[in-house]
Amino acid sequence: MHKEILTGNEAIAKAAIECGIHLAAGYPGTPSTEVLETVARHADPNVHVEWSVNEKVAMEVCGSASFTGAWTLATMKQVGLNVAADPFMILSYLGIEGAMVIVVADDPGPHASQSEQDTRMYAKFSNIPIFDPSSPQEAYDMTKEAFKLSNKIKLPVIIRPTTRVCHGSSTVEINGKNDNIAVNGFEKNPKWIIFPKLAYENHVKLEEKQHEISNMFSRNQFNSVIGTGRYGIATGGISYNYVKEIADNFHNVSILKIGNPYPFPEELAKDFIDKVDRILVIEELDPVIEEGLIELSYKYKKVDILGKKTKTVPCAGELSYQTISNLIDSYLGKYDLIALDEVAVTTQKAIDLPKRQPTLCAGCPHRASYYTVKQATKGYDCVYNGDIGCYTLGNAKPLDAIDTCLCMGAGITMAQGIHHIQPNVKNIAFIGDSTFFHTGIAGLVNAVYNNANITIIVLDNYTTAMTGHQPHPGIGLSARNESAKKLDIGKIAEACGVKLVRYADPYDVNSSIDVVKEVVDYDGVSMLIFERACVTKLKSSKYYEIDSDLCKNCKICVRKLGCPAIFTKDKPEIDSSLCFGCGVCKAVCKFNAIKEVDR
Amino acid sequence: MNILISGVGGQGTILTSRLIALCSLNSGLHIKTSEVFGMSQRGGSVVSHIRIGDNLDSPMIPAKKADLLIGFEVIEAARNIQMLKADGKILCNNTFIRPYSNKKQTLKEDKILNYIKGYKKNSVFIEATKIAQEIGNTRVMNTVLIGALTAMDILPFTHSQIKNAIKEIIKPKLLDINLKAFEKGYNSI
Repeated sequence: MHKEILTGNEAIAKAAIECGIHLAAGYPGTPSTEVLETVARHADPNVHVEWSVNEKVAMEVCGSASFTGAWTLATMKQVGLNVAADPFMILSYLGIEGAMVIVVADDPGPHASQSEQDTRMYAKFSNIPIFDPSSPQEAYDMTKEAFKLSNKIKLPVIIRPTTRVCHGSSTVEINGKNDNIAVNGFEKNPKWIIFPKLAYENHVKLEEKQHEISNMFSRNQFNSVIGTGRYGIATGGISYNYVKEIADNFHNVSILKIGNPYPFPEELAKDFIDKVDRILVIEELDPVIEEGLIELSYKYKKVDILGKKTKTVPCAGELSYQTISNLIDSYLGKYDLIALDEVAVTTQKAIDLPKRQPTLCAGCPHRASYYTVKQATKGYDCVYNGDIGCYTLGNAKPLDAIDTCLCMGAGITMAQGIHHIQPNVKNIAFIGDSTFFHTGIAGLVNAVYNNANITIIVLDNYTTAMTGHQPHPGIGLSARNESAKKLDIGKIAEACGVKLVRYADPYDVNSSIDVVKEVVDYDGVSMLIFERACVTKLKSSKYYEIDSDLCKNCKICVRKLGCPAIFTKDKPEIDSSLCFGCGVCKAVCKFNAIKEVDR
Repeated sequence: MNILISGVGGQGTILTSRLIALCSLNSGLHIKTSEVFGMSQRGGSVVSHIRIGDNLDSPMIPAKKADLLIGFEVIEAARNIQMLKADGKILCNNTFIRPYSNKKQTLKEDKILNYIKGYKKNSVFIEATKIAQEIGNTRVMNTVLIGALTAMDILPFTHSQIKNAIKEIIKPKLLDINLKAFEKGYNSI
């Protein structure tokens, strides 16, 4: 045993490696990404690690590998489980042979997601057991337990860390030794073929297993009752830490800590309900623990339960330390316990500060691509359909280049829906390179087959940028950074029947405008691929500066580009420490006032 | 000890929090950190929470409980200054990164600086970005700040402990320039 500083994601990965996994697969998505990255970095070379093209693929690869007796790890963010929901829901009926743990990271806030969906609800929906870690140490311990449980009950098991666990780090005690699990290989058996009759039989068995698993959870270390007070507080996940630190100041409290929200550990919760007079439930996102307690209270003992259903606790967003502190203070009616000296350290008022929204980086090729497309389509009746990635930030002013955004791969398909109702409106779909491989291709085939007159603009920056630069099928590298087959987006489009495929360099603004016009004017499905590497990993070799004598103060560089390196004092200026040197501002300047300078 | 780091996504706050965490591990101290990756890393406001010591449950610093605020940029330092304890300290990189605005900038730099100085009489400002630029890479600004912190003797670690952690955490290719930044920062105080 030794100690390391690990994030929750790293702790899950290290535990999975120590459990002796044979295969890991996932798709990047904040806040889950670093789990698979850590496995790729640290697992033995004989462990197969892959960035799958999407979460459905990852789920199926892990599922079938586990049929052979292998131990597998699938990783994704919460909305990724929507993509993988089809195989996921059926795997609970079919079961597995070795072990299969699915990491699904939730994002209360949300910080970097399109939804605040709660994966604990998927656990209930699918009858799949779930672990909800409150810290990196628990993420490590739970992962080990989850693999054992999965192997024992022959079902996939979910670990559901949330953002603060995924990206929080702490001292974690780890074993450091890897188990060696033998794999017997795939044995042919009708039990691997789902049919309605088998589905019915397995559904009955699955329901029967739930009670047994619930009893196991009542007895394990992750679910417990702390304290003996008559004021009950039920909590789980990251919120447990805040509750524990705050409630340590009070002696009349009992805490029910739930580490396995489904199947709900009823026996343990019954003991808790017996001890307390009323319960405050503090959990982020959906009222899962709260519903478990309400059901128990209905069956065993009437007790007041305060939570989201009584509108006591906020129904959405992250619960901060301060929010929970206020909730507990008012629940216990002990305002006098707040240390007043700490509330009033100073009476100085905060000043108004400018807001700072996320924005495309200085030098980002997407900025140039969006600017070019908007210039080229001036005067056109156009709908710009966006997708998921850094390039979603093109919605902000002054680019204002995105009118719709739904989910991965939906830009191409939403463009079709609008086109079929309003054929005279030009529909443009933006999509990133990694997103194209994720769920863009099916939409592309659909557009060609169903004769949609749309233009697909691929913003190819040779990486999965937003999640931290993971490889994908278009760049010739594997998850382990080894060389891999490279698939060509333009050739795929041509093979799918796209007759017009063009390429452009986003930094070459003036010649790109004509290419954009050509693809947008084309009757049928057309594609333009803007090719330029993401700048975040590149070193800048030059920058630009504005000659204030030549500058006529028209501010076109400020008003049209929204580059974070350009700001206005009396006239526009460029911050040389932020400037990447893309030269797009020079291209838009009508007075030749912007000059290149070597670093 | 509670340390808050505030800055703009991309400035290297995460590496600094990892460095402090590594020093804590090497000194046998318990540590919890919390940060947000992803979308806000693209030029948004970012905050890292670092807590060192025993019996800590929450990974987030409660309001008014920060002992130290490390400001990577002035506006973001001002945004978080109310998190400090009555006797909390602040070290700030004297640089403004102006949020994008397509109107004429109304940013009053003096007003923000005076707000910080009025809030904490003993605020320390250093020209970390300028020093990093002089050394030849703006990105080592975070290491300049760590050097200055070491000289201020606020962190529970010695000069050599921090230097060793830098050697452990920084890629060999970038080690020399980071060590230079560390010493420049140290000598700037």
